[in-house]
Amino acid sequence: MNDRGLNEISLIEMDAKFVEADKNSGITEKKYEDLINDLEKLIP
Amino acid sequence: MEKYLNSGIKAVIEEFPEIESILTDYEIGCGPCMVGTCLLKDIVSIHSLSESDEKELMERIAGVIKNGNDPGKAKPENISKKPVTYSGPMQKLVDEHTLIKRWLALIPRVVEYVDLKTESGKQIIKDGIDMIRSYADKFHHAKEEDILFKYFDESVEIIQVMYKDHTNARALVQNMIKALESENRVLLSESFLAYRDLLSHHIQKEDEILYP
Repeated sequence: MNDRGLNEISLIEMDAKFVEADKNSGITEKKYEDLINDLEKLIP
Repeated sequence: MEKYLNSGIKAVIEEFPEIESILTDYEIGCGPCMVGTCLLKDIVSIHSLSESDEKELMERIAGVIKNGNDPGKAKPENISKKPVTYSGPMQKLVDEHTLIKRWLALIPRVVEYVDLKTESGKQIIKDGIDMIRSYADKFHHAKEEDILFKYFDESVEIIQVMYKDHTNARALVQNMIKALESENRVLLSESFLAYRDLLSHHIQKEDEILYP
């Protein structure tokens, strides 16, 4: 999509918005990574 | 042939159904894709096939269009694709797909394994639904809908399809919750497997078409 009209400034701005959105979501990736690790061990 | 090269892939498949299975041989899922407006001539570059696979694929397609038969017939043993690169924000979204795909891969075993009559079985399903609602939807899809898509013309078909996939996924989650509450194993299995199918194709469209 970056080849279809997004310039470097837009990408940097988008990246910053992603970081902010992650922070505001209150969700941590680690929690779900642990969940999947546990399920992969539990269910052969 | 020129006419077909400049036609949307869905229209080409409609006229020559055999082409769908040829594309599938090269891991190009135009059949289940709901968009289908990519031109035949662009399919190869969009999906980053190697030069030799590209040549073979186009020869097979041309054979079907010109002579009514597929000269290749056999599925290639190894598909080689050119390395795909992503910009920073797109790479982040692609990286998040990795965890979602690990969950999708587990789903058939989970629905087979869990006993909805037990608390531990119910907890596995609750955790799985939480993974979908929190990580896949609130954490991942929300960034696409609230940020990424706003940088583009949201009325274009491919973006509309992405929105539709998200909506359909949310409807399937509602079915999962109903199945859990009513301990309905059949509905549970159907809704989880349908979600797996939907999200697998959705992620493939993003990784191969939208984000590179």
